[in-house]
Amino acid sequence: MVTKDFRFRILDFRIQIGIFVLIVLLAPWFWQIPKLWTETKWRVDPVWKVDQFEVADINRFRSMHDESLVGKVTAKVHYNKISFMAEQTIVRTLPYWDLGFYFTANHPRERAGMVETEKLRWWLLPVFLFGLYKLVKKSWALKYLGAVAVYVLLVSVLGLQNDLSMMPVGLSIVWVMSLCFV
Amino acid sequence: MFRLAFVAVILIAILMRFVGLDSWGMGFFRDEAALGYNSWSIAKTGADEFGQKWPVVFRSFEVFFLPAYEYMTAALMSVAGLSVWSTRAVAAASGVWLVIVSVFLIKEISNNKWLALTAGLMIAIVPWSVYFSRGAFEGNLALAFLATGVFLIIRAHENKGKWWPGLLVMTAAMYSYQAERLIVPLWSLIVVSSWCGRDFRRWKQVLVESIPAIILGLPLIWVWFTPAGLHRAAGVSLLSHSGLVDPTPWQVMRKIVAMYISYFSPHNLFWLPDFDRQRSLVGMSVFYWWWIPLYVVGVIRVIGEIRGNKGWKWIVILMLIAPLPAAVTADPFHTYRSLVTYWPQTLVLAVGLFKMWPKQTVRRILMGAVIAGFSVYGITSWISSYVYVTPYERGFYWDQSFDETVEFVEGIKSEKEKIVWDTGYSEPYIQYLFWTRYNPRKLHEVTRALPLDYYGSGERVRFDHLENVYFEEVDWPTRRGDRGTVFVMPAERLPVSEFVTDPIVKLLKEIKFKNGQTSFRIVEIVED
Repeated sequence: MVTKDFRFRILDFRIQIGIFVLIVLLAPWFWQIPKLWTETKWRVDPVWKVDQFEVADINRFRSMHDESLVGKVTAKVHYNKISFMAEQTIVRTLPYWDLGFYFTANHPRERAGMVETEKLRWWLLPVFLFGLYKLVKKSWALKYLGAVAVYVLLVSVLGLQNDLSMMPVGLSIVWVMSLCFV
Repeated sequence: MFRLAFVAVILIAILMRFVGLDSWGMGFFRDEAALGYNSWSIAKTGADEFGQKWPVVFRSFEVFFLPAYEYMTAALMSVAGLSVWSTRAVAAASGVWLVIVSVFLIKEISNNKWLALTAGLMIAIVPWSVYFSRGAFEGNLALAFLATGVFLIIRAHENKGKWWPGLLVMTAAMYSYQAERLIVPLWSLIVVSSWCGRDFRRWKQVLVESIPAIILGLPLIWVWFTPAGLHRAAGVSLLSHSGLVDPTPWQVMRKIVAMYISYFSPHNLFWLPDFDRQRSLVGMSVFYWWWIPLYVVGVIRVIGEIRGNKGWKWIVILMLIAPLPAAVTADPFHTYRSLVTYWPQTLVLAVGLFKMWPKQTVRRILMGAVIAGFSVYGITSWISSYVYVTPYERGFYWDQSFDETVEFVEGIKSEKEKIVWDTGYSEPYIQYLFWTRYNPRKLHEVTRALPLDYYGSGERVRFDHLENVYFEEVDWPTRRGDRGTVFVMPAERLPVSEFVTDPIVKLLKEIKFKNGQTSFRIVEIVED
């Protein structure tokens, strides 16, 4: 027997799907998929790969420290391949947790050498924030955010980050926005 | 146990802020010199560098400083004298006080002393607080006042105390830094409105209790409407710059939204430093990057608690209001102007850490080990950046080596006819006054003769010389033949190629930054 509550939930789900599709259609980003599909060059650049510039940086920063015990220890703890790997992962990951990246063409922190475009309409930001508020009240919020984090981390560690590989994150943001109306 | 841990947290805060306060630094910035010298001048004569008695706003090279920091430093300097340490000590003490008041506040709103202690510990070691406590940043004093005000006002809201102490302290915050002039009235009004509602008697009570704050604030209200009071706001606002090509209301709104959300961006908070290289450490932003998971958990938990706990509601409202002054300026991610916002954000991070703390012993040991490991890494990275890398990389931005240059100039002053210090890059006159401890009374004989409308105009007004030391922008091609003159030139304004083949230009001294690059070249034009 179909209960009234179940019927409401189905209706909610349909509204949510409708809003999801509407926002996807409104977002400039998703209209770029065909172009990005042909232009994106997939190249793995993992964080653990030894890079000449990185080695030069490590040596340069270490040379700024003196020969005291504190100088030696801090230089070795902070400037080494492992800490650079961790920092490189952070550098690659964090832009994708930046709302400015999606809503305001990364202003005021545009990436050097990139033509930034508005991926989602900036005036939809309150919709996202309200959706996020609804999300975090749910018991599975951490699991959802964790799943997105794992995806972003994986892409970043492997060095596959580009506007196309971030589409799933974009879709998950739109899904959070669609929560706003149900 | 709690008391012991609390004392340990305070000790950590003191160590992080006071050890090497005057000797580890990157240099001594011109704003610090202005604050220090004017405070000293007040302590000695009751007047600032221009001879203005007890000013409400201090002007120094057209930067208008609110006065609380100067007067507090003046009180300290009347005992300790003028030094780098005494100039910075009020900011450092403010940082320690912020730790203490944060513990009291969180204990008050959460009724959990261990969460309060976690918050205190995190404020004690968080990069933004330590950084802005170790320079003469008056915004740090403003934040300490504001935090105290928040604590007292939240207590008043819960009917545990009177309103007037909190409102009075909040007014003191408005006397300390520009951003608080917007944040304090907005936040206070929201809290007061919530308490009063439609109850006329409560409004009357708050109004009566506001009288001390209003009396204290009267000079500030007056100065707001003078060019001196508005100079800073007008100079840095979004519309004052040419950043917006076609400033339609829609475009302005979009830009403000972009700036506003940048103050909550994990990218900015955990990695990218301030755009101004004088306002950040190399490789370090507002928080340690390994605190990211705490941010996620903290935000989720605090949002969950807002409805059941009004205290957290006021903290979150403060967090949301605090970036507004910075968001309507033209500079991207300005950590100093948005300093207030990082305080509630750190409290949220503390909630994150506290909520992540497991209940099982084995997990606790594991997590404790992970946190200890990261803490060692964090503190070593802070020492590495603060003590070694930043002084090496950012000497130029911190006005490094002015002390040495002034010392050299003082050494040759009596032998030379005329010394000209180039003003092309910085404000050497204020550094000169600071490092020579120039007698304020003697200075007033010069500055009182200047055509200065102290509060009525923000225009550039300078004396051009003190005895035989002149401060002017040097056009080297036209001045290179001024025989008998010594020029103190920033190295980039006088490359070696400009004088090395000229027989009448004698290089007296090259002053170096810590990284070995030349900061100043001091040359003399001699007879053939």
